[in-house]
Amino acid sequence: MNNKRVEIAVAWAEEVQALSPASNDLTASAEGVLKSSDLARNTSSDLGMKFETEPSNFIKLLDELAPDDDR
Amino acid sequence: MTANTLHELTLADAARAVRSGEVSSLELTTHALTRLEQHSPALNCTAAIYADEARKAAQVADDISARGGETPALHGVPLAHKDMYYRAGWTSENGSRVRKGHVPDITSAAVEKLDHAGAIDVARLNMVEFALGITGHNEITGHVRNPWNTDHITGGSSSGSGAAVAARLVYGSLGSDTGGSIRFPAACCGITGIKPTYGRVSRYGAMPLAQSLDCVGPLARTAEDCALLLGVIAGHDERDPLSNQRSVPDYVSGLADSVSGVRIAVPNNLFYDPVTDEVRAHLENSLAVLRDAGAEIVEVTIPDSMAVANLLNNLIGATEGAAFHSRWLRERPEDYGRTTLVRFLTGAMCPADRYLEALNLRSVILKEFSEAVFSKADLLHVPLMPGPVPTLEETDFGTKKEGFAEFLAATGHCTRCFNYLGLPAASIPCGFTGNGLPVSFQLVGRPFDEVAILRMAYAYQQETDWHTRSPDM
Repeated sequence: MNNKRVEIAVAWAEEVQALSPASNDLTASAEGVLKSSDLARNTSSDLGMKFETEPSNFIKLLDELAPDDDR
Repeated sequence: MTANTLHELTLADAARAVRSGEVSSLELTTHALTRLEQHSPALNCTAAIYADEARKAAQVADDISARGGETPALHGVPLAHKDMYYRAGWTSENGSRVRKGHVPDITSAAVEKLDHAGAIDVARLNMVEFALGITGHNEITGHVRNPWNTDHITGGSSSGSGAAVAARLVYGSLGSDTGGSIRFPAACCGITGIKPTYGRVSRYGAMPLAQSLDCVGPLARTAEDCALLLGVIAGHDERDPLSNQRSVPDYVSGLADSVSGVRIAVPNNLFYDPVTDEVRAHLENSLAVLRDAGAEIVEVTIPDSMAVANLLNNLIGATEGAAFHSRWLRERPEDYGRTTLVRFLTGAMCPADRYLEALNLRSVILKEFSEAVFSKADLLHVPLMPGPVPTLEETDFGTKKEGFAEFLAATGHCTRCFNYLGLPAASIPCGFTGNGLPVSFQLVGRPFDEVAILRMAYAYQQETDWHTRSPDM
């Protein structure tokens, strides 16, 4: 993990998000969020063109995929 | 039946025994309280025991029985719940220091429904701090211990529920599941648990972890017990606008229907990646039992998009959790356990567009998954814990300070994705590994098809006796 990225993320957490736990906890969290954010960005990009615009479509989809009530 | 055998009854049998007058609610409740007081210290499974309140409620139940007439489904049966289900005027501390002494002024919808069904609330059960963990460790209240071997984890975050039900201290328990927190304790403790479809059960009055993922559900000894409990708690509630309006089927009456011809999908990719040979053997045995019961086994290929579902679940969970905890994270971070704090802080730093992307992709991935699996089968059979239940020491990441992310990724491999997709999933015990701890398989269904899951689980439990085994207390 690039130290500069982690330092920037920690600084942002402290200055913008006003988080002030022990610095090694923020560092651990920053490393985690950078790693997972990179993975999600890289992996999701192929699916990105299929975005639904409203999260509420998910709730509607659950109902649509359910078996009929009269089973 | 004798006092020595009362705790061996299933929830369904206990309810029948009270209804028939074979045993009184006071006998059942007193027995449960005695066992809770006797065994809770070694297991650390209870946050508080409501001895006086429970005895009074049991006496009232017996008075009602004495008057004759119909009684509700769980009349007089003692239950205990994860310490996140509020009851107005009663303390609920969510396994935390932050909420020490917290007394809510509302009662959760699920608890209200169980009360109306006649159940007796005997205790609040320990849990992972703020429901954020899959092992059962809690640096604040102490770790709950597995009744099969107290050196081993119970699974989390409904750790006390898993232990108390497995140790036959209570007949059933409400847990919650945001990434596996009903299924892990059920699997690690050798009992049955079901995470219903997202929106099947009202979350009103339950401590939230992640509003887009949280599900309320039961842990009990059998599929029949879970069906009973789910039938009571499921259904729309205006106080939880995301609770679904669909009618609630009778989960119990059709349990014994034949499963002949029901198609069970088995994946040829993804879900078996981290599974050990020992666990794989048990899973294959369970499939053989289901095949002999008449189920048709079909092979499916899981779409590539599912590979990212666990990660996206983590992003949503951490971010929404951080939002709920926003003020406390800033004002009193020192009051959190370290593991909990680091995970919530991760959410507090997650970019907003990553979070929204994770939400928006749910429909896309659910459609692809449904097409790949449920166009060919009625249920999906997958692993749950990928290996034997580990010890508390080897998974103590609060002390170790590293390795947690890798453990979470490997262990949550087969659970989080179904929270992400909102699908119902159950844990069913299917044997023991060489270290003497339980192993389970998982059944996943279409949205709102808990009937199919419970029916198949019931069929499995008619042919096997894993669910009848109890630890030597």
